[in-house]
Amino acid sequence: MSNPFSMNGGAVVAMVGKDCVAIGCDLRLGMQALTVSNNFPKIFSYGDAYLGLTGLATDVTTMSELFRYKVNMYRLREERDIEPETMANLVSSTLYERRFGPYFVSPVIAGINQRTGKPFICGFDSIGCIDFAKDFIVSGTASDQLFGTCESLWEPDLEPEDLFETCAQALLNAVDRDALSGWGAHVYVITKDKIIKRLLKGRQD
Amino acid sequence: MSFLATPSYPQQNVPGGEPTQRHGFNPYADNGGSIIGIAGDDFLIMAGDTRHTAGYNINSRTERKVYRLGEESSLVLATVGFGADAKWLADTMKRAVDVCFPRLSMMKDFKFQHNLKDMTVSAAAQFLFTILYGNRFFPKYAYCILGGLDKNGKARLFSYDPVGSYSKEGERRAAAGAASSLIVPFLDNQVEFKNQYVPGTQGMTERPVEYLPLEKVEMLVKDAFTSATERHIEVGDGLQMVIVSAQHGVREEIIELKRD
Amino acid sequence: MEVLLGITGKDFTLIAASKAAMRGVTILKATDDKTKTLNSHTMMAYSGESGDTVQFAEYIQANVQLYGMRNNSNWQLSPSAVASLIRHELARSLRSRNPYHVNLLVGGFDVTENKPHLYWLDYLAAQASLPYAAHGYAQYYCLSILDKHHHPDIDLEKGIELLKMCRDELINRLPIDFKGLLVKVITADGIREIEL
Repeated sequence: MSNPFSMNGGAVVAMVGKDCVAIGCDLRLGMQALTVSNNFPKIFSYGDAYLGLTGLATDVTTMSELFRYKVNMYRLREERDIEPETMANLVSSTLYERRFGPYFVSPVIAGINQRTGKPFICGFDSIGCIDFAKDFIVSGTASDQLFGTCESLWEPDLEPEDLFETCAQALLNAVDRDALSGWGAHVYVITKDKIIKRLLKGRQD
Repeated sequence: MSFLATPSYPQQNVPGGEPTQRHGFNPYADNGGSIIGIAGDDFLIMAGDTRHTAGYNINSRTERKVYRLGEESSLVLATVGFGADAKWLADTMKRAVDVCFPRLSMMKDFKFQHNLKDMTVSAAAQFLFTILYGNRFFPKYAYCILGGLDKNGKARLFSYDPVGSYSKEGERRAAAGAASSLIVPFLDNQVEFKNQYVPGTQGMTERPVEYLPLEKVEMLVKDAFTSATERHIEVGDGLQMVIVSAQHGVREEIIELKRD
Repeated sequence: MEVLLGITGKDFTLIAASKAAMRGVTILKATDDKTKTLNSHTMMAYSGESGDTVQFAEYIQANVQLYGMRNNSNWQLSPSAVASLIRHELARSLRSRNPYHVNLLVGGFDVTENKPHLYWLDYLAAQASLPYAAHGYAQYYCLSILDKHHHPDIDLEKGIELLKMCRDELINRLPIDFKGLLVKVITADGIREIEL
């Protein structure tokens, strides 16, 4: 059995740029060392907020579906999309509800607030403690490697295209040094009026 | 390093019997820190931070991890892990390579036996393997990176695990220690150009690997350590760099890192 | 040593399950059927803890049929909807006092979009949609064979040939006789059993 956070593997990273944010994930789903699927994306979109989930695969799916339900209910009540900051508090309180029997996930949120136009990213531990960051957030089995690549490649005020390249290189090079992550990647670059999703081919080993 | 963790069994007394006393001694410690080595064409940089830790304590902010193996020699050894073993390895290598203590030396120093000739890098590399593997069943708990210039002035670099495994071909860059998992993917990207492709080839042609100039390598080393210092608590205080160049000889430099 | 295999192709999904019912090292039955038909174009194969498997499978079978009846007798759940329903039940069970220990392959053919489907689910309710899948030791022997020889647009004949390659490898490598494979195929026409 071992650690539920590292049974299936996976990595997510989010970065802030100049009036833009990027969020990326790998595509592997494994059982310990055996790779079961190389098409298991870990980023889910909820209107203006993008949610990345790493950890136990079953909880990744459960949480993504739970938030789909919650965000749809929010949209019906409020007659508007959820803002990233609001989403962060929703995720936090949902996780803390399970304080003594947590979902084994490490969520990451990225998005641009449509009202203020401000980029927003944040991360969480599995019981909902929010980690607000001005630069980048990492999570998953390659988090050590991602800390290294992000800390040395990222710089403030990157334009969308440069932010994409930085995010993609940070992710790709990090997951190549983690046996439990990789097998391709998705990277979203989010600006106020455009979202670009790119599918990256990575090493298949 | 879970196999090095101190066992914490509760004291168990047999009811009605003599109180039992269990004695445990852990011969190893982890003193943190990180080292890296990058080889250029005719130069190499060996670097390490100067923090020495025990758990959350900082023992020293000025403890060096990179050792020159002799005054005239181009050989440089960087070691990290258990500080005492690391130092023992450095001393043993120094004694073998140099003419420091000909009288005290147990294994007759190399220069003395070989008509004052310097040991080559590949010979030193094989010698370090012998030392490490000689302690196979009570290992010296230290990760080593050995570098130097060969007869033609080309840079050579070797890296070892605690029991001596190394590649005789050598490598272009190596990292070890507490923050190696942070530094290695960065070096993959910036030294070996991993995941980089030639523009306009639709990601079909990989960017060819080439030797980097000294200034660029120096910048990469500083970037690697400032980044590791930001995110790893066992790395910081100072950055010791030893630059071995075929043209300009050996130069040592220590710059400040964050002390928090 | 239970074997579950699934392969999709151009216009079909193949599901195979070993015929041996085992308890420890004893083979209790050599004609076991580890599959359940869920609706006209969806079926599943299951393995795991004995007792849990049949209990869970029958529960799912009944509930998928109930869902169909409650809504519309002419309409039925698509394979992806069935897989989601199963995952939901398994995920709910996972955080209960005694969770089901059941691994599943769900195969189907979506008649509206005319596409074959195969879903892999483990006892933790991790779900993946795959072109080919396996459970148990068969994963280690068969996935590499399928990695090399499978293409998404193969016909049924080729699919059966791949299944035979997998079976032969398993007979060669597994230390216990699994008594051959029970094979079912789902096409636009429905589900039928075939001899390998």
